[in-house]
Amino acid sequence: MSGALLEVAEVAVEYRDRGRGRVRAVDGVSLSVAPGQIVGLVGESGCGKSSLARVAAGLAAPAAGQVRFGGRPLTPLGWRRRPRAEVGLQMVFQNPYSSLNPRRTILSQLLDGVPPDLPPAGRREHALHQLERVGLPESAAGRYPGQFSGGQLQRIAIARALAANPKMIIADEPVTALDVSSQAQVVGVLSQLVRELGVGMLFISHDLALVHRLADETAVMYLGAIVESAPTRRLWREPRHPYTRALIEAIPRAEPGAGLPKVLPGEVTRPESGCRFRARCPHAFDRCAEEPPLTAGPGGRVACWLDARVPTPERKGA
Amino acid sequence: MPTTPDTSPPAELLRVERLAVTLRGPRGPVPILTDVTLSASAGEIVGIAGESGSGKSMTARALLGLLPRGAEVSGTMLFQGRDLSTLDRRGRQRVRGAGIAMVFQDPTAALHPMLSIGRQLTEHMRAHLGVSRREAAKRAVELLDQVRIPNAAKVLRAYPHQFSGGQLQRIAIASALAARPRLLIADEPTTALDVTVQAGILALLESLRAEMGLGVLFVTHDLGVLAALASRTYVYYAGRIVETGPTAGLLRAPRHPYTRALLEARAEDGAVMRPIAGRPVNAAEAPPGCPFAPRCPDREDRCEKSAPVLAYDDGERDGRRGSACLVHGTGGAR
Repeated sequence: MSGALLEVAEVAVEYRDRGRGRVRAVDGVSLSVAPGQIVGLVGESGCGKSSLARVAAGLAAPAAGQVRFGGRPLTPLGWRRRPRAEVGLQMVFQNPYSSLNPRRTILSQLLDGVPPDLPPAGRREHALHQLERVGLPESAAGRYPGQFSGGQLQRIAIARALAANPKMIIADEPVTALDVSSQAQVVGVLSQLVRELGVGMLFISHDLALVHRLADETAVMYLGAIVESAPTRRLWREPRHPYTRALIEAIPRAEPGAGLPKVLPGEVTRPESGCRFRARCPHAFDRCAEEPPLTAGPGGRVACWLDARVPTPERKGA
Repeated sequence: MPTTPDTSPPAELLRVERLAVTLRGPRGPVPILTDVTLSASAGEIVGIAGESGSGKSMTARALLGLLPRGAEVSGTMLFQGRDLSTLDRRGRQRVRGAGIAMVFQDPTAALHPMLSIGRQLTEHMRAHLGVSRREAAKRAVELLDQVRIPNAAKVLRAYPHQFSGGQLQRIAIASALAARPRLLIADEPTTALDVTVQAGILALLESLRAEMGLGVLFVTHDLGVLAALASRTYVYYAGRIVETGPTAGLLRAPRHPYTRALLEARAEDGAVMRPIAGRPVNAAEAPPGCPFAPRCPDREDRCEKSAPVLAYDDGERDGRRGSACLVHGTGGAR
């Protein structure tokens, strides 16, 4: 796709496991993020979303496929030896308590992120400006991480990412460890930054309700593959894949008399063949013995034989 | 033995009156809980909602006698009429397990990684119920059936690392149920789980309530979970209860500005996530007057001067709406 800032093309990630040999955590995932766009990646634990995040951020090499950032292939060299252009790709992690060093002042950690080509005189000011952007007072700069709440720390971690003048931010479960009231603050800061600075964002979360609030586009991952992706509103209003529907129905709603959320039976295990969701799918039928391709249509992409746009499987000869 | 359904009217299991807890700090006593009054009956799921530092988990710890050393406790905690705070260590141990059991956010904390599931379930029973090895093994199979874990015989020989988080939480619940407790305290038992797995655990707790008449005190930060599960809810802020009542009514017309703010901060379908100004405080940091006043959109001058008490509708406590707010306190809706 032209105009995309981050392009993930047919990426696979594999791990070696003593008992099972090679395990494919991510199995041919493609997605792209444009400037000023928030793409939400949703899935449950073990679906491969964090493995994908590491590859998309250049922290690990894919087993297959390619990641392009600003049109150039990403080089997974290790964070410190990255070429200058890739500093424009920043990551925010789940746990701000461990991503910030407790023994260094906030200012010194913000300065870590400031691009090296900035003149020494302007560095401090640049760092302080990032604090303002995330809604924290300048006085925070002289303090230590222990003096802040989780929500404030996460905003500091975002400020540090912003210090590098990024074009693209990958946020991996950035509010999962936070209280409800701080979650709303951090989500507010993130979406405002995307609107104001025009950065692109890949927002990874297990919480579909949260992604619904934030993302323009949502991709749903199950067992290493995207099963549906669509503009967020459409996906939420009329989910096409049975797994997307199950995810939405499992979210408890704070409404009087909401009743128990619907239970999705079974465990996350990959069937030996066919659709990866078929063992748990209430609609599974004969054709699901063959894996449905992720097919693009006007309202998004979906990998399900029930969807009319997915072509009938070709009789396999090749 | 299959459990026989209890047909007698719901008996009150727990009654906590004016519970206050302080811990010893380097600069004098640190308040943790202030004036907490609550109750729970058999066959009832009661919710405790609050953010970190609100004292919700400390309430659970106080009930089980698991407070840090040097904690000062005042008020009464009656479990089936017996005062928990006057029990000695042996007495408390007897209450834990056979009377009140607990499950935690992290099921691995309750399960030893090096012992088989069977050994952990049976040892628990032998300690609390004094049954023979064979009887314990038989009951362990029943327990796993009860928490809907298939292949019980195989599971008993397996070790914790062989299970997913959701399965482990079910096993931890089985272990908590081993000594036939009347009240289960569940402290954020689904917070670390995926939503689809959470849905299964919530359904399980609801069926244990309905089938065995288990009383459940469910501690969580998520009002959505309580909407589905709890008949009554207590909302905590800064170590005290700021609002209580039947969950449906509390969600339909929240009275305390904090309850309202919590609901509006949720990522809920069709609503804007509205952040709450400032950050949550714990009891020790709470300002004089109303602890929520500095963050409250409806604050008046008097809120910073005098602390509101929890006032109940019609002077009755049990099952009634109550709110600790000078502005939106008694009677009427918002």
